Amino acid sequence: MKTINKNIFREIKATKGRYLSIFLICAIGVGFFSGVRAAENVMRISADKYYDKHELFDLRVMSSFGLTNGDVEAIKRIEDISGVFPSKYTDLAMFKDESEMLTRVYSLTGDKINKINLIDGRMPQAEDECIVSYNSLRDGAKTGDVVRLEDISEAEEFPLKYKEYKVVGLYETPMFISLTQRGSTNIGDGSIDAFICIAESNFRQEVYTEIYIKSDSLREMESYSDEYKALRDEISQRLEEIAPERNDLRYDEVVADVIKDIDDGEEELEEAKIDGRRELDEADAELKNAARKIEDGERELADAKTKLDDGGRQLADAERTLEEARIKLEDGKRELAENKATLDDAAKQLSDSKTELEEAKQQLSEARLELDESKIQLDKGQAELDKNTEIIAENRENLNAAKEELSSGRAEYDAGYAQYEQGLAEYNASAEQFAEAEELLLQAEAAYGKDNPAVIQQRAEYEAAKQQLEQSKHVLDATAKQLSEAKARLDTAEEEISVGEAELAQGIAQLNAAQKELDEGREQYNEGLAEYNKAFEQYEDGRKLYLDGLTEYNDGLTQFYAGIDKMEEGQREYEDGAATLAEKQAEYEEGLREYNDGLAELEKAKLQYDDGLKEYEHGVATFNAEIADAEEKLDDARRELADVGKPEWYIFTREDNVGYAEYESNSQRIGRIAAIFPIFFLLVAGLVCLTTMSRMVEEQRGHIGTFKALGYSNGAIMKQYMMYAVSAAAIGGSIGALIGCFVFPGVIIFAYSMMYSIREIHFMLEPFNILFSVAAMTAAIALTVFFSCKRVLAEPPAGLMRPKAPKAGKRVLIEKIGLIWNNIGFFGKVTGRNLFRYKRRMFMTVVGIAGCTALSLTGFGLKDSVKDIVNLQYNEIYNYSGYLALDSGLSESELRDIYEELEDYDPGTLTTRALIKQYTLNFDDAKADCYVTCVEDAEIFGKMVDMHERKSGEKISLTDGAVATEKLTKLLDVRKGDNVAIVMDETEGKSVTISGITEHYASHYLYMTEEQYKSTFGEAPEYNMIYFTNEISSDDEAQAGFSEKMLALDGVMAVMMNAGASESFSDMIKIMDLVIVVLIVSAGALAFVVLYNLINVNITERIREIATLKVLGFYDREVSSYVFRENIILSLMGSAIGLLLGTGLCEYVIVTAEIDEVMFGRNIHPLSFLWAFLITIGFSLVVNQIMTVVLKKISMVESLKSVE
Amino acid sequence: MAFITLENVYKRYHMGEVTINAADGMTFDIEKGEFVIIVGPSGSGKTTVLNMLGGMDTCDEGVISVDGTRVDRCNRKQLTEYRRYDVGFIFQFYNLLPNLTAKENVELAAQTTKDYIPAAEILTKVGLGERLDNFPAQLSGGEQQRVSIARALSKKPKLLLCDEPTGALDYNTGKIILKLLQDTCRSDGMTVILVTHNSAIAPMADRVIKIKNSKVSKIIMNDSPTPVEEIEW
Repeated sequence: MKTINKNIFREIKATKGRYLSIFLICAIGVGFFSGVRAAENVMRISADKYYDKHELFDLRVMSSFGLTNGDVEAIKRIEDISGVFPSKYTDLAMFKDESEMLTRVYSLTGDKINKINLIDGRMPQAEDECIVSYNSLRDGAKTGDVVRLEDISEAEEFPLKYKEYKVVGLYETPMFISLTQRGSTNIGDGSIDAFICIAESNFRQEVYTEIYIKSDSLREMESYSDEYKALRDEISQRLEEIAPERNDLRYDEVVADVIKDIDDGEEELEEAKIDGRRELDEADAELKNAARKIEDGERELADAKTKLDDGGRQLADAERTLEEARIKLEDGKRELAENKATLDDAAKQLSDSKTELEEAKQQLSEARLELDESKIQLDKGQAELDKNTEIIAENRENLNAAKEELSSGRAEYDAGYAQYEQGLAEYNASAEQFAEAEELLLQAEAAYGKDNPAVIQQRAEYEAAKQQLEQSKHVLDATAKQLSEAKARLDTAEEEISVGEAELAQGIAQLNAAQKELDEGREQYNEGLAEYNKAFEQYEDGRKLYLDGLTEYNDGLTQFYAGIDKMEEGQREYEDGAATLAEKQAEYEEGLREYNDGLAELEKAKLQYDDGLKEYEHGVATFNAEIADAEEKLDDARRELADVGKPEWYIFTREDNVGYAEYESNSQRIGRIAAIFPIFFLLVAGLVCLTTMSRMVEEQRGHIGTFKALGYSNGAIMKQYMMYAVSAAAIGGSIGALIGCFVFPGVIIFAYSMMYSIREIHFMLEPFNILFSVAAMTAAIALTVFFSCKRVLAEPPAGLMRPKAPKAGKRVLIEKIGLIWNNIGFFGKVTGRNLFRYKRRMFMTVVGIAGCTALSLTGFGLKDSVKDIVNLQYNEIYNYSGYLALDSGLSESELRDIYEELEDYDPGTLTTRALIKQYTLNFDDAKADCYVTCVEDAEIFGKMVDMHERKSGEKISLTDGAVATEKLTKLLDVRKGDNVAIVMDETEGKSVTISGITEHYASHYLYMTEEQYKSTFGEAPEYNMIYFTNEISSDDEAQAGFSEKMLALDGVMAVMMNAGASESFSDMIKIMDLVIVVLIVSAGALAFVVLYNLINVNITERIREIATLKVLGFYDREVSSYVFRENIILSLMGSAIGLLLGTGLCEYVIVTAEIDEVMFGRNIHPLSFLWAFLITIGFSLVVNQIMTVVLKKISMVESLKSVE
Repeated sequence: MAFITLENVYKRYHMGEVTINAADGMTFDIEKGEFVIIVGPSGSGKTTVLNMLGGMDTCDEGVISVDGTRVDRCNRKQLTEYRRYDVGFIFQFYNLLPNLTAKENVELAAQTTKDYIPAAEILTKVGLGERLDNFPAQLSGGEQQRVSIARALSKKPKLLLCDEPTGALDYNTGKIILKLLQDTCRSDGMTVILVTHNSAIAPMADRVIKIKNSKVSKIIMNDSPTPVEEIEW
């Protein structure tokens, strides 16, 4: 190895960091570029391989008359067509348990065309077995289930042999690679949910529905390529060419058939007419015969009836006579019985009166006895009374004596008392005097003293008087006592007298009472006696009556016995008569029965006759109707024959299938992202590498000078640096490309495999992309090296060996603004000047950092916009709580029940019905599927779905015309006021004017009022949904409970809750997250490497400066801040510019990356700006931290001696 | 004890298998205020000694003491502080920051210490009073070296270390620089240590240390140094 080459390796080894960073930047840049760019082709190739593997048809022919084997043969003859496969299908509703799915039922076409991918189970073997399309996103039928098919269109005849099929397997069909879009149909809600395959023999129709065409030439080509499209169009053209001929043939075939049918019909009709007439005539004759017979029978019966009636009458007479006799007999019997009873009564009466009489007699004697006794007692009472009268008189005398005694006692007492009073008055007078005397005495005693003899005498007198007085008092008191005692005695005596008087009075009263009693007793006695005498008289009368009665009774008894004898004789006679009558009766009944039988027979005959007649009449009517019907049919057929249009062929390509076309646009979208995003990436990477290399050359001028001085040629010297740069770029780029070509397409296709059945990835190294990116990168670097070296090499060796005159210090613009310059401090000035000294370096760094920030922001912005779909769609725009899908043919009462149930759940529920059906819209050449939604009450619907223009926020109200969702108008490229066509079927369309464009993110809708619907479609909408808004919580349990309740109602086919839909949509949209994470991670990685490299270069370039600072005794911290202050300012500037740049880039990427089915949000959230900013600054700080270590290791001695 | 003492100082570089002794047991003393010239041929280890004295490099063995500070025992931070406060460096290629004016270059150093000579003053002293706001690129080599000297002096170091200060200068300019250094030593009492391979200027020193093969071969004391003006080479 030459020394100079050794030098290269040494150099690489010495500057590992730089080499590695060039290497990595190239790897990331090229890897990302070629990987993301390859993604589109990998997607297309993977799809093409999938289509080839599954033998997907290239063209498909349908005809309004159906297709025949003749057509098949004719198509086979066309050039470039290698396979022609007729097939049949029909659209039906498939039921499994309670769930209904709109299903397209295909006939099995074998392995040569549209080869299905059996995922589970086996292929159908029996006629009533089927396989069902598998959908990982939805629960459907499983192997082993039995599904029921129902025709929900108005076809007369069920198109298949069986209604129930056993599921024996699940499959995927290459015809519909999209897991969500399965084409549309004109039944149900218009969107096909599933496919099933059954044996062709199940189909009742004879002609084929469609013919699949394959071409080996096309197979060789890539499905989405222009080449393919060109040849396909050519073949399509060839098909168009034979179409008229085939159509004429088909027309003739169909028409010939029809004409022949008509002729046959006419002939048949004539024959039928003749046959019918003859049959009818025969029947008529038979009927007439029968009528005659019936008449005869009737006459005979009438005779018999007369006879019978006579017999009956006689019998009735005899019966009546007998009955009379019987009645007489009964009367006699009754009379006898009555007599007997009378007799018995009399006998009883007689014995009763006898008893009575005896009793009366006894009573009478008893009364006599009583009377006598009371007489005796009366006499005794009189005697006693007399004695008592005497006693009373005696008592009265005693009493009067006592009264006299009392009055004399009282006189005595009164006298005594008068005396006493007088005594008392005298005493009182003495006492008064005495009191005066005492007074005088006391006065005397006081005046003369007690010892005065006069006084003493006086006192003695006084004492004597006192004593006398007291004595008389005593006498008086004794008298008083005696007086009171006498008084008491007198009172007692008086009391006794009054008692005696009272007793006397009582005795008199008693006596009087006794007298009265006695008088009464006597009276009673007299009365009793009178009574007794009267009773006795009665008794005698009774006795006489009794004896009379007895005689009478005996006479009656004799008469009674005579009556009995007579009656018995009558009875005998009667019984004889009855026996005779019974005999006659039996005879009569026999006759009657015979007559009735005859009658019944006759009725039957009549009935038969009537039936016969009716049948005959019916036969006549039927005959006439049938003839008329047949004639009408023949007329119809003749008219139809006149009316019938020409048959027409419809030729479809794969692109008419939504999934196929969508996949292509998805791959193109990735391609479009790849067109701008990675170029930006590559540019950033390239730019950074250029800076690095150009500075490396600058740094190495001393070495270059040395080599030059040693006599090496310029080429040889340049080769070193070329080798260094090119090897880093080429090897790094190639390795990056190799990794990138697997990683990026892999991740992207993996993400898309959640929506498409294409899962096998056919990785491919795209030489062009790889070569292009590696070459671009390498060439850019090589050119940089070339020009840098050339400039350096232009100098003489001596000049090179001297250090390059450092770039002159310069005053920068801001120094002129004293206010700022004087206030930013010494280091601030240094930094400011450094920044502006190396404008190129500043520019490169800022651009590099800005690029990374922009890429990160794009990633975050993409994430925001995807997230916004759910946020805005389900929380801002959809304000309803959910909707109910209704059964077709819902009855009024079922609808009422549903409304009631909703009201019952929440009385404030708002509801409106809607008809939602999927249609394809057409405008110019653009096509898009959307849900045409007709609402019953536009005002309420306006509260449920917020319709407004996105940019102006202006409300849109649903009136005339149709309101389209924003993305739909983008896809079709229509503006307000344009007319779009709603494709009804493959031949016909209805036009409607777009009156408003509303902000909307998920799916596409075309809203219109009921009136608009009527005027557009010419029929009233058959509503199939109820939108409702109520106060239900978003809690899972509440939602599930509500759904269950609603599903239990008849007529509710499905309940879709807004909360649930929001969740499942956000699940689906997570696909994009993965792609976005790739973007963010790649951008982050690039940001890191770029920052590392830029700072590394920066340090290398200024190593002398740094060493000088160290020698001057700057602390590590001061040294790093001297260096990094610039970096931080550059990072800040870079990220600020990056945020601006990113906003634009993000918008571009969002618009190009959008899936057709949804519109992404258009706003980047403030938080994303923050994140993108923080990530850049964060990386910058991390790199600074790493560089601090590097700075620390810088050796002053080594750095400063380098130019010695 | 002397102001500066080196005692059996070793510095070894390991280059793979080979070990090179850049300082092989060097011993010498320097007194305060002396003008010292360390002289020797290329690769003799004289710059290594200077680097070790200035705290830019460490020794593997031996004692280095400057004004009582054991430089050999200093850690990284102490070495930084030593360079910051005690040492002034002057290089062959000046090592001025190209992006700063003459005044700013001086301020850069001055601002690291508390006690410093204002930039304008020291620049006037070295004769650049008129060129304060010029950038290095606008100055001649001699002028740049004078800025470098002013930068070193502005922080009032204990010793001034000069590594071939005239190596990139023409004869006359070199003389002016040497004179400036000698005057600084004489008038301010600054200890100046100058490394050169040019033994012709040795007479201007108070002390000449001759180095050969990484060893001190001879120390010559000169009681009457010759003024620079009188030396010719």
